[in-house]
Order: sequence, then C-alpha cells, then structure tokens
Amino acid sequence: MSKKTLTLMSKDKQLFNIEEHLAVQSVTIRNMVKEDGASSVIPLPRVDSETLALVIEYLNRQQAPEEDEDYVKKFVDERGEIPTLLELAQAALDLDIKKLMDAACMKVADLIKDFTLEEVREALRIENDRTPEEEKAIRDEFQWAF
Amino acid sequence: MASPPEQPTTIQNLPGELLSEIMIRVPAKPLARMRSVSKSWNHLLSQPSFIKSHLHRSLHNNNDEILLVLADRGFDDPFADRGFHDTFSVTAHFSGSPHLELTDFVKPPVVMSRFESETFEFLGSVNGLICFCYRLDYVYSAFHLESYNGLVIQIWNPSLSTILALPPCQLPYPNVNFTYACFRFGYDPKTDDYKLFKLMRGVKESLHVEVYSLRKDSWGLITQRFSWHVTQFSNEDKVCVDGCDGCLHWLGYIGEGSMLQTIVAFDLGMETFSEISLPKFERFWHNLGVIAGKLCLLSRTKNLECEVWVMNEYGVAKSWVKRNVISELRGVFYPYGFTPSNKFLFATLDDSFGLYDPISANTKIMASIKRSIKVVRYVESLVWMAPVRI
Repeated sequence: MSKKTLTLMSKDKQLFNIEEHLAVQSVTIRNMVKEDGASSVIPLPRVDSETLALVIEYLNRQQAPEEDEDYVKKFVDERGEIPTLLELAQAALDLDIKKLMDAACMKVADLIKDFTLEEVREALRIENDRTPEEEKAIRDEFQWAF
Repeated sequence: MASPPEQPTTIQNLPGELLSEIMIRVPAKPLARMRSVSKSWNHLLSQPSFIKSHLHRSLHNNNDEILLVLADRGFDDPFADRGFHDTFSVTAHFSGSPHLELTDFVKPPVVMSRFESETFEFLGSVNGLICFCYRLDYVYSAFHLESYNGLVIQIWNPSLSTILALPPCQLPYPNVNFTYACFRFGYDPKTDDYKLFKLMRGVKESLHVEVYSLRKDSWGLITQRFSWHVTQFSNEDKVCVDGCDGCLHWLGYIGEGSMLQTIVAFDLGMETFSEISLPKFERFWHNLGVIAGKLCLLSRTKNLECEVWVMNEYGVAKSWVKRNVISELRGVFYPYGFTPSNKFLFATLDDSFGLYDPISANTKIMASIKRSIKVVRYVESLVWMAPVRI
C-alpha cells in the first residue's frame, strides 16, 4: 500500500496530516476514504484541535500487537484529567476507534466510581435536580451503598 | 440548559451513547449510589436496556474472571461453626495468572439468627445472581414462618449486596408427600427473566414441577407430563452452567436400575421439557457442562482418559463432536466443567479442586474441598432487589 497522506481538520479549523494506512484505524475515516477517496481535507467538526492532536498521536503509535493493550492503557492514564478524557472518549466514539474509546471510558469509569455524589456532579458538571427529600428517600433505600 | 458550542463538553450535552459507554464500565455498587446524582441518571440506570448492556459487558469481559467458591453447610458438617453468621462460606479466586485468593471480596449475606438454619444449600447461579436455601428450625418456623414449611429460598446479588426472599410455593417442601426435591436456577434471555425450577418426586414416583419467575415474583405449576421413562435425575452441577440456550439440562436415567441415560432439557421461556440424545461414549464417570456457550459432556473413561464431547448445533444429536480440549492434562481427576472463559475445573483424588487453562496448559490447584461446593463466576449485576431487613 502506498503511503498516502490524509489531512484532517479540527473544529477550530486546524489541519493535521496523517498517513492514510494509520488513519483508517478509525472506522469512520475508513468508510469516508472508501466512499469518495477522500482526496481533499476531512473535516471533523466535533473534535477540537487539542483532542485531535491526541488522537493523531495515538493513531501514529508504532506498537507490537502484544504490547498494544498496555500502550493504550498507559496512553489514557497519562491524560488522567476528566475533561480531556471525555473529549478523547467522545472523539474516539465519533471516529469509531474502539480500543481508544474503550480505554478512555474505562478510565473515566475508574475515576468516578469512588467519587462522592457531589464530586461526580462537579466532575461531570451535572445539576442536582432532586429536592433534599427525594435525595434522602434514595439514600435510605440504598443505605448500604453510601 | 443548552451550553454554547464553545464550552467544554459536559456530561449534560454528551450524547447518551457516551454516557452509557462510561456508565456500563462502572461496577454495580457505585452505580447504585449514583442513582442519586440526578433524576435523569436515576432514569438511565433503571432502564432494562441499560441493565442488560451493563450485564453484557460484565459477562464478556473475560480479562479478569473471578470465581466464587460457594460451600454448603450440611446438618452434620464438622466444619460449620455452630455460632452466628458463619453458616456458609464464599471465597473469591482470581482465575487469571498468577492465581490469587481475594479475601473479603464478597461478604456472605447475614441471613441467620440463632433460631434458624440447620442446613444451607446453594441451588444455582446465573449472571451474577446466586440462589440458595436454608431450613429453619422447626420450632421457630412453626411460630413465625409457617407458610414456608421450613424451607426459605432467597436470591442474592453479591455485587449489590441485596437479597430477595421468594414467596411461598404451592407445593411446599420438605413435606410428607414428597421424597426428593431438586432445584435449578437459570436465566431465559427471550423473556429476560430469572427462574427457579423445582422438581419433586411424589410418594408414588410421580414427578411434580413448579417454577418461580423473578419477573412475576410468583410460582407456577408445570402441567406437562414429561420424560415418561426417565426415572432418576443426576443433579451434579458444580459450575452452575444452567441457562445454556435458555434451557436447563440434566442427565436422566431411563428405567429403574438402568445405566441408560438421556439429557432432559427444560426450556425456561416456553416452560416445556424435551429430550436430547447423548453421543456414544464410554460410560464411567461423566457430567454435563458448557464450553464456549455450547452444551458439552465431560467423560472420564476407565483407562483415565478425559473426553469432551461438544454439541455443535443445539438439540441436534448428530452434531456431537469429540474434542481434545484437555488431552494435555495428566493425572487422575474428576471433571467438573468449564468456567465462562473456558478454563477447565476439576477435582483431584485428594479432595482439592484445580483449574486448567487449555491455552497456556497451566494447572493450578486452588483449594481443598471440605464440603459440597459450587464454583460460580462473579458477575457485576444491576438486577435491583430490595435489601432484606432482618
């Protein structure tokens, strides 16, 4: 296979080059290349440039298959901030890069599982839409879990 | 409240797909707590489709298989502490390499009081739910729980620490009218229901079957006359393989005092019986199992060979194929069955049990068997059951 290069464009209009045979690890990009040859720039309107740079770094990895699982875990571990991980997970989901998506979601799940309710809300910026009475009712029902 | 597009992503404007992908990776107990995060989370976490996705992920994540060894307590069990709470034991073993025993991984539910419990028996386990029963002290039961006729059956979800007590059944056991009872616990994927099967032999050799449905939370009698010529059931199921293809399976003996055998299947969805022919194999010591989702027969021959017969097409007698899955394993042992990640579980002659990995050809002796045991897989399950308060 010839080493053809593709250009990806982030939400904030930055351009990234990547060799096609590496880019097609993303099922979404593979399908786009199949459909129209993707000679021009591929726009990724939901992925910001910081996240896209990470995705490209991941796609460019040169790993032996047996070391790949460990690499993906380490790659995600080193970017342990929840907002970054959420962006990365979303991009991997959109681009259909299964291993990266799996590892990023797993890392978020690992982090939030020991959080208090307030920490979960804060980390994921969720509004508490319960009245104190409703919260107490749930707390009583699942007392053993708190 | 919709965020402007420039804002960093928050869970509120994350698509439900990403939220689900994250949440199915969170273990059951923290998820129970997270139902309080917000109403929309409570809604998501209570959805049957979410509970199924979460279970599916737990079942197919074979990297870190944990096995629970459940040991019954019998009436004359010398190992049972006659004191409180230590009425049965659960030990957790990490089946991967290196082998680890996980202490305090699962705490047995506190179900006993000083008035209760003479025997304690695990009836079965599927998808992370464990069904067990115990017999109440007669004096106590006469005053308090007459309707149970002595036998209390409960379903335990160890990943949520919840227990559900089953309602009284229509044909109580133990009872003078029945000489024998056999239980099986299984899952029917078609109706997404967990069922407890109870078969009893009446005084005139008649067989009676009653099935409990978790979805309906009630028992129903099965009226189909079945397996007319099957007189005896072999109820060995050390690895709880029930629910293969939504069916329960037993080896049954045909005719009184005969060595002829057949497989009796019970479809948990249709609640009907059928019969499956066995392959032609040397009969010495054998039992049924499941390997890679397929029904199999494990047989120990007289010259100590262990054969594994696999039924490639469910219910088709011609599709039995002999496979050399464990031909590398040497020594004398009794085959128990396969774990969900296809590791082979066996008992040794000196009453230990071991695990053999056919891929790496590694053998591990895990623990000695002091009592009647069942080995089941620990699976994170979100099947909500109200905690029992005693």
